[in-house]
Amino acid sequence: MNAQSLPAFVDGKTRLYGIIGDPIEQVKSPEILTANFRGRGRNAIMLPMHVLPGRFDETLRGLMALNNLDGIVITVPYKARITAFCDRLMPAGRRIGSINAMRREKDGSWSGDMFDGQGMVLALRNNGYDVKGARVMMVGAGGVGSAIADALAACGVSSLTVYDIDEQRARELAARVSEHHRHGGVRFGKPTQDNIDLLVNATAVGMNGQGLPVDFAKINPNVYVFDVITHDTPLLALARQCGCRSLGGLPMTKAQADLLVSFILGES
Amino acid sequence: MSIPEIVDGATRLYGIIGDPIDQVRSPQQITMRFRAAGQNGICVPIQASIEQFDTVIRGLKAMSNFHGFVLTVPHKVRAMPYVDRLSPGALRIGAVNVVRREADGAWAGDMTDGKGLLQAACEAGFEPQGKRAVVIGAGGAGSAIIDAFADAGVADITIVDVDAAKAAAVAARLGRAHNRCRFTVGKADAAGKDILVNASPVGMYPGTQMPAPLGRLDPQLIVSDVITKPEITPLLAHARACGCRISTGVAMYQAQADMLARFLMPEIAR
Repeated sequence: MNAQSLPAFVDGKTRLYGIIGDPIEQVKSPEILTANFRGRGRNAIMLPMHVLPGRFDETLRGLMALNNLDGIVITVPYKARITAFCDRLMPAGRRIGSINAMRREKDGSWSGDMFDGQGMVLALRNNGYDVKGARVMMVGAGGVGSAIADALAACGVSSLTVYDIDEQRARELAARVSEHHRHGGVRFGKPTQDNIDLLVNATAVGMNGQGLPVDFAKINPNVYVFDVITHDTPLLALARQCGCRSLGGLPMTKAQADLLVSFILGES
Repeated sequence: MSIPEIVDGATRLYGIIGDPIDQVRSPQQITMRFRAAGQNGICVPIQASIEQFDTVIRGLKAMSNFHGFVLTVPHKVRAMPYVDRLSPGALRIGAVNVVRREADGAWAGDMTDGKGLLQAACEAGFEPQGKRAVVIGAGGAGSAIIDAFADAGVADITIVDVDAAKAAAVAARLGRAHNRCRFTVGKADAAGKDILVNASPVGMYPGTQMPAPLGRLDPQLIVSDVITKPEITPLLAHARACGCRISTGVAMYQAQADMLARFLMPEIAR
């Protein structure tokens, strides 16, 4: 099908995909991924799906029972919880224990994989920053933090220090990444900017426009700052003020669009 | 409110549920009406088999930004238990074709299948009060049309079906609900009638034909058909040749699309 024959918005033949989260209004995937489908000549749409935690299982069962819904993208706070609905996890998803995409296979089973980490590394690369050999401080060891740690280790950072207010969670993440990647430089540690090239915020702190994930008054201008949040944050503002190069989470979403769409269309 | 090119995180979701689903027109028709009213909403096709219907409905209703749905074949009767507030018409007919989430979280349902044809017929000049009608086909569409006619003041309705028992059952059920309208099971004879409606599938492609041998029609008669393909069925072509006013299935669906969009999103001003 070529782009000329696509419906203006939607028609009876449109294939459905959904992004599930709570909250959902702020997500950019409906626009970005719908445009990606259409750019490939596909009559398909990515719908925002707002699901409260108490209704999650019920919604998933309903969506998976639809005959014209072929894939689901998952965002906060469901990236770990959704794995229970997959029949198989691809290697990155299995290592990380959480996923952000699942697709229906030809035999009707569902496969899940995680692209957040690859998206982050790609976004940095697209902005002229190669993580290979970097010394990294990452705050936040939840779903997105786990994905980023896995991708950073896979891309050959020289060291990765992980912190979380839940110290146990950060220690476990560091141990898991070290084990999978046989990487000696991954460890738990308090937030620091000594001997650091890249500072990563993988927490939700700053999403509401307030607060820093680290109690730094200043940031060394040689440090590159990355924030997973998709709009401007106090951390990014501080980075700019200190003369640091920085990048927000929207490029991470955009950079993984091709990866996500290829996966849910079963092309990769 | 700003409207995205197609969809964004704040888009309100609506669906049309059926099986098969490829052929439905509501996604375009209803989405266009939402957008024309400046609303960020979309109506998507939802293909749910009979076996999976309960699971699908529960899942859709559990989504906070899913606000309503249209029902098509084969789910119009099956959806009744999922509606908290049924309109009088839906209760009389025993089927529902549109359901929305109310401000208090309850689900309200209506049946517009008959009202769409009634409105299209009125646009062609039909004035229902005190009139006499003959309706061919006593299935889902036929009973909805008969109910809408009786509700609008039609005084006398002859119900025609190849299955006479089915016609009698509809006459008995709707007769209890509408005591000011006379229902008769009879033949497809338009003599002395004001409107003739084909609510049977006869006339649809392929092999289109007349639903009954009607002979010459009085030019005062209005003739309506529910069939959309072809838009001008052999019945409508014959009626037109006799000088009758006609209303098509396409006009019925257009009228119904307005009703569905307004029911789903009551803030759309008429």
